[in-house]
Amino acid sequence: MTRDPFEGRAVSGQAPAVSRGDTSNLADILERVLDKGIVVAGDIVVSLVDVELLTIRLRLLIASVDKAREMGLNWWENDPWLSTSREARDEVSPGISDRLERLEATVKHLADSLEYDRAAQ
Amino acid sequence: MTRAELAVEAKAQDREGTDPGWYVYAVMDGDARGALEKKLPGGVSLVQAQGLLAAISKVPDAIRRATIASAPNEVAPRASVEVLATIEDAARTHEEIVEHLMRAVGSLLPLRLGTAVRSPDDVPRILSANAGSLVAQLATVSGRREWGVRVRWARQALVDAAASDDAFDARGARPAPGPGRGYLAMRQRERTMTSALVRLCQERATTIERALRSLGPVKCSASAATWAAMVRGEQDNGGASDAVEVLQGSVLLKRPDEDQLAAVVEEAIAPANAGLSASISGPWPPYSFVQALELSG
Repeated sequence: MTRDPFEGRAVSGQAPAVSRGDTSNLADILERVLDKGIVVAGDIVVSLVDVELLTIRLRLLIASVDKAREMGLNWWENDPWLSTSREARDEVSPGISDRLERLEATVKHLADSLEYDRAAQ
Repeated sequence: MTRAELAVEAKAQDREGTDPGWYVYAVMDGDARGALEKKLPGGVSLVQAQGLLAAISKVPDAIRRATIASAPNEVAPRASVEVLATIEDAARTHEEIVEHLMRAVGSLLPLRLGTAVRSPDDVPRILSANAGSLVAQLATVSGRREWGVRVRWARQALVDAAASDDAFDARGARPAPGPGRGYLAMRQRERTMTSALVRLCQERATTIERALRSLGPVKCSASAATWAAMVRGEQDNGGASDAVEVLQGSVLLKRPDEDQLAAVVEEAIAPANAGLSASISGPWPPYSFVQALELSG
């Protein structure tokens, strides 16, 4: 008879600095069952029962990125919400990349001026 | 299901053009076949090669929804509650079947979520191509269970510890005549503070990892770049905005050593008022101790 490999999972008393997690916790399960083989695309905020927040970056689950491409699955590369490419962004909001660049340049200019002024005072 | 039946089913699905592939849950020692055959979860079959067993099934619906729900040309779903629900469903389905198998055989190599092949015929080839490594990994996990350890450092306590650090004090206390130099000195102080925080995390992670290694094989994720990003608030810190994650690791323990884990961790994060806290989870199938399979071979 094989001994139950998961016996002892019940929460037991511990010293306050070391707590015992619950193995039905989604974050802990995902942490273990996911790995580098997963296509990384998109950010998902997982809200857990204990109101802990954890950002998990994943979307498509397949053996590897190469394998997924081989199977013709590459939708995440063109998804504007999951891709940082200029083309993908502009597909959703035409001209958004130009506006973004102008805004970034303005912010940089203001930050540089501020730093210069403060250093000169 | 026999190999021939598996092949017939695979061909039937190919004809329908809907074959989502075959899912591989875990690899076990070939001797486990007897213990498993009457305890297999519905739809799960065994494929044997090179003295190894793989548990496979058609990709379960729960996992298929999360894996290939977005066919080419289909609009990709947004990160949403629905997407998360499918991922949760897939993860729990995967974990339940792996745990079911592990209960039946005692030790196994759990594969990660999303390990799929085109056909059951690919499985013997994959087992053969990875046989040496799989046998060695099975020997490593035999009689052991994985436990997760996560250690966090309360941000304020960490900052206080860094502020009292000798190297930080010496550089931070330099006089800074003039507002321009004062500003630059402040920037310098911030940078010095960050490196002091990172160094404290590094030292503590090393201590904890060494303590865990005294109990069994360890896998840890911790790096200076990650700590620096967490300290600057640029990276998720494992769930708590008021803490920096010092270490996230897994240790493979023999049963008699499991009772020591909490005490060993507690000692490694001492003293109690240093602002460090740890959480332990488990036991788990030994996911963190399985190397990725070479699937293309």
